[in-house]
Amino acid sequence: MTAERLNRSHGTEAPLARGDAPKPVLRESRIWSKEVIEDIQLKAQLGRYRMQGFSTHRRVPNFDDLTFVPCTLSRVPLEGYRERCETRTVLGGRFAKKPIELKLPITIAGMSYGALNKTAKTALGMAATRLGISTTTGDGGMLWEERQASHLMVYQVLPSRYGFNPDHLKMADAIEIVIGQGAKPGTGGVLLGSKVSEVIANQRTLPVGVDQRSPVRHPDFIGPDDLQIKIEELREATNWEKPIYVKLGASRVSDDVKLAIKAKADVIVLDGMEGATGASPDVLLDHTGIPTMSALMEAVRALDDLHVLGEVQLIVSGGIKNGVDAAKALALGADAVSIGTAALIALNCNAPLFIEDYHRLGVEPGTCHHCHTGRCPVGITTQDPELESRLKLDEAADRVFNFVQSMAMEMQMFARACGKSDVHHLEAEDMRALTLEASMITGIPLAGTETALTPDTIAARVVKALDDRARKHPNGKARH
Amino acid sequence: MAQVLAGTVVLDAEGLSTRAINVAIARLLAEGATDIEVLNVVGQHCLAVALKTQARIHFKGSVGWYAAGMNDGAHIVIDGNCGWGLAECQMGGRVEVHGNAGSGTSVSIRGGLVFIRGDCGARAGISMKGGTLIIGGSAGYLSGFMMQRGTIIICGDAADGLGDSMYEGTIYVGGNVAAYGADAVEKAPTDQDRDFLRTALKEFGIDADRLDFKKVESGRRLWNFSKQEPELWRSAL
Repeated sequence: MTAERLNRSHGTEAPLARGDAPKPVLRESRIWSKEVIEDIQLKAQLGRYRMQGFSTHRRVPNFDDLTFVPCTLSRVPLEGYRERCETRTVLGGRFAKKPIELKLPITIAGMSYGALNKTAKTALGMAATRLGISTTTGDGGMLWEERQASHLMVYQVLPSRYGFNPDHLKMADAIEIVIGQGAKPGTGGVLLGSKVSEVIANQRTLPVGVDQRSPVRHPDFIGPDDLQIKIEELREATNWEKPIYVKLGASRVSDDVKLAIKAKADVIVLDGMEGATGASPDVLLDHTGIPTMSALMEAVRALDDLHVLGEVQLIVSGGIKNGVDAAKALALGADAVSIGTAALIALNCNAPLFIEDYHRLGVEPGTCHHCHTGRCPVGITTQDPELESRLKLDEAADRVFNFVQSMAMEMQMFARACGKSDVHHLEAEDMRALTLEASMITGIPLAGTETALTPDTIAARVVKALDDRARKHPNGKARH
Repeated sequence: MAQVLAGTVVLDAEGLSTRAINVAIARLLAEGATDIEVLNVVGQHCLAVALKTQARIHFKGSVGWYAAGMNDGAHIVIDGNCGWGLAECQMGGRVEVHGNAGSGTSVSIRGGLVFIRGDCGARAGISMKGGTLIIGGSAGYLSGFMMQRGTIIICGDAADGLGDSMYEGTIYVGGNVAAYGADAVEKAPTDQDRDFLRTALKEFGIDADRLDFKKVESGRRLWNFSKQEPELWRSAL
């Protein structure tokens, strides 16, 4: 037998007749896949963890695992394209003298001037103002152009306090204390040296070109009792006028939300695992936190447990990609959603433009995650003036406006179909689960069944089945 | 509640809440007061925060957390002790504490002067972006962590982790340093440094020449990642 034939048959099977040999099948290891091999060999060169922008690559349970069950004969829908359907959203009335009022239950998430450039931040502000929604600052402080463009602005208080200025705090319409973010809860932000230009370095009081790794702990408070006093300080600094949000990366959500409520937050911002970032070690994106839908359920139960549903508002973010996700989030108990990546994609992120620059980064449009390198081909996550000039301010603002407008219309469409005259009236009962795991997470019945599969309902079914059997066979063994 | 004595407005804070004291101070400042004494403070939190004024406010007693937080120009004097977060994110002005201070003193300040006559808790002056922090006594764990700019003078001892991961800025220590943090480098002070210390400490009655000051700065090896220094990067906080 030739060596070739031995190889084909692994030396165990009878040699095949000449001409019968099947084409060899290349068997890829499930453990040592091509991705794993590439990952190990790249780290063998880097000597550190990998960095990337964007979000997790993993598929996690999400809002696509739910479907609406609109009105038919048993319920009456509203006229889909005509009848009034309210979208107004008020946030922060628990303690603040001046709650924030949005025309839509949507906000633009905190993204730093540094991760994004001036044109991108300003475009988001312009779009938000036309939409009647808020923008949010980020690590690095407030960009004056964004403040001028944004009618409603939320000012973040972050652990690094880069660019923090009490004058800017007082100019804000709400304040958001960032405890963590969904992309990497428990770890601080990163801005690699390639993006720390002279302007950004000055704003953050850093040396030009330094790899900035932000702290994760706040410098002046640590635990929830401290947070309560910190919130009091911020209220005193702003005459108790501005709503105080507390932003949490989705982790131990139930406990965290309860502690934030106890610390007297007005609003909880909950960022799920699908949340994106300008730069992060990739292992954190894929292996920390819990999905947005799961986090939302835990948070709603926590609010309910403390009897503050409706009093403390809940904003969820992380992977919200359209009005469908937003409508489902509201139906599950959120008061509003926050979008970051979706807004950047509307700006042109990953658009099939300047293809040769994608190729220089080794990616194709649709797969780019180079927010961290500062070489964004479409001029959004870059401080390079030439690249930034590719983002045309007015056109970019128009695209974000159009996209968010489409989100609002999609939300209203589902609400009307479910017979609701206000998007906030959507409820879990308006949906069915398409997967077992979504049913167990949300407590919504699996489509085709009438009862949700949760640990409680499963236990109840088992008990009922045993009782039924005991009744049918009274002389059988007793139920244990 | 308030009376004027020799140009100083005296505010009696007996039984008053944080809110009531701050509202009273704001009202007095709006009426043109430039020197306010607040009597009978008993550790209320968040006093005199985010003030944008040149006035002098003197607390007769101990105060709680975040006293003089986000100060922008005021001269705030505290006769007793203070809690955590004193003068955090101060933009400018001057804060003096004539007792001891809690943790997180003078963190992330951008300008002005903070003086503590006694000791400070952990994490004094972390993430400082400018200004000067003078500690007459000793400083706790991880002081000067991730300091970006500015100056810290510690006349007593410094606990573990001093100056860990500093970007820039300078720390002077007159006593012993338990252990330096990652990438903090001890240097010999120059004549210029000694002149600076003499001047800075003189007004608080501290003789710099009686102390053997060490100077601490960033080694700048954590500015950009290098796989040639794995031990340094593993120990970086």
